[in-house]
Amino acid sequence: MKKTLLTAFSVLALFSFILIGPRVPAENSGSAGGSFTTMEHGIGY
Amino acid sequence: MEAKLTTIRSEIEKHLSRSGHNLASFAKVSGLNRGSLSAILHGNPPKPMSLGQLDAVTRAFGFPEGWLYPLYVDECFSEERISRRRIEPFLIRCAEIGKQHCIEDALNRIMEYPKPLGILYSVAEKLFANGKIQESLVFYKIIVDNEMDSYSERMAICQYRIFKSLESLVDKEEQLRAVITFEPYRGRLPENMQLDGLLKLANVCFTLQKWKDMGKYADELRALANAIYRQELRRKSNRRGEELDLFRPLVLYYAQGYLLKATALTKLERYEEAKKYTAGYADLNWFEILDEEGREVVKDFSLFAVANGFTLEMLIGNKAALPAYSAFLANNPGEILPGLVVIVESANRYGFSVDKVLAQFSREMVRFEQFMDPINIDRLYRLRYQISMYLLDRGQYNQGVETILQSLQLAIRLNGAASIIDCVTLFETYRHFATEQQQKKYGETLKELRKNEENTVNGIQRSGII
Repeated sequence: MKKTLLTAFSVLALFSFILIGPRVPAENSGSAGGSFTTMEHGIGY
Repeated sequence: MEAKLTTIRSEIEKHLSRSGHNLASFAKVSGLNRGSLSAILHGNPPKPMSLGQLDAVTRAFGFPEGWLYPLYVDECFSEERISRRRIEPFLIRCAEIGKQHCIEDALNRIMEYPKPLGILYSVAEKLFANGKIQESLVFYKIIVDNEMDSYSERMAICQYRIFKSLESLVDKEEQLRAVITFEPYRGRLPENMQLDGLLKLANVCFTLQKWKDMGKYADELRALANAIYRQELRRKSNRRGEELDLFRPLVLYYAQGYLLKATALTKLERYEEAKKYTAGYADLNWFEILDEEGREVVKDFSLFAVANGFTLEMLIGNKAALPAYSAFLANNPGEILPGLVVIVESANRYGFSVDKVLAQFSREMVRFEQFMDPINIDRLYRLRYQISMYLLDRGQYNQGVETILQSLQLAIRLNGAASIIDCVTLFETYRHFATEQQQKKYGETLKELRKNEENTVNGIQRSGII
């Protein structure tokens, strides 16, 4: 049951990624927050 | 009747009499010396006023800062010379409080005197050192436009400062213009700026997908970092000379020289050579010049080497590496976006399914919208474009077309001509699967693009060199 719920949530999240899409920030607006770093496996580090 | 000329002194006199002060009482209120005040107002010739004195007068009258700045410009110039002692703090203060018209007035007059660029350079460097990057640019740009000796270090430093200030540019055309302008000056910089400039050049070439140029700058970065490393080791053993003042740990520039080269070779599909360069930054614990930050860098680069090892496996079609790569990404969330770009690209190239991986990271993917830097916006574009091809190839037309439209928006935002063409041709190929609403959205997006084009034709963006 738990697994089914998780899968359903994942599918929903994937679709929101596709449908809503990223809000591209204004130019020169600084760097990203959150836990993500700016690496393409090291590029931009 | 002859109009009375307004000067800084006439204004101060006028407000003195209005406020009912005499020199002695005003000197007390303003904290200025009475004799100095008298020499400034009534001396023959009147003593020039310092900026500190003017600010004290302004405060004593209760006016906002910069009240008489437009009239202060005259204090900085005589017939024969510029008063460096007065003009430098004046320009810095004007830049800090946004008195643009005073700066323009002063600059117009400075340029009429011989050798004005030294003063402007000093002002620019002081602003830059105080973190007033944007405010310093106007001065650097004037120097660049007027410097007679293009080979001078001063010219190279100005170009470097301008180039660095463009770090967060997303527009690819502007990025390319910045690279073309800065590139010839990179070798004339002091070593610390040279390292930083080469790193930045290679990074910009990554987003511009100029792989050969990226490799070239990586080669230069590696050679310079190596030379500085040897030089620093000699200096340490001889205990002579001063330590080089680098912006970031030397080991970072050294490691990036290998990582950037390996990435450029990977993009050129020269995978075996890329593996050799990846080994070059996988374990840098032997590096002798390491502080705490440097040791962190070594740790991070060994992680990147593992990640890029997976990248290479995926790109040569080793599907068996996918579970381990996914597990690695799950343990290192910062690497998910670049990892997914490679995974979906490989899936499209070799025709295998990555449905499970996309589902596994779907929640993280929603958060990619937080990214604001050019490298990650470019990655997000590439991920979306690859996902749209992946979905269309699997008959999921509605979502596939939707993702093309999202990719197109990003491509326009990045002003990447090749990317826009890719999205448009992909949409046209699958147009018959698009819903009416999607077709309408596509039409509106292109209409918006045409509007930008009209702006360009009408001259708004025509001043560029490319």
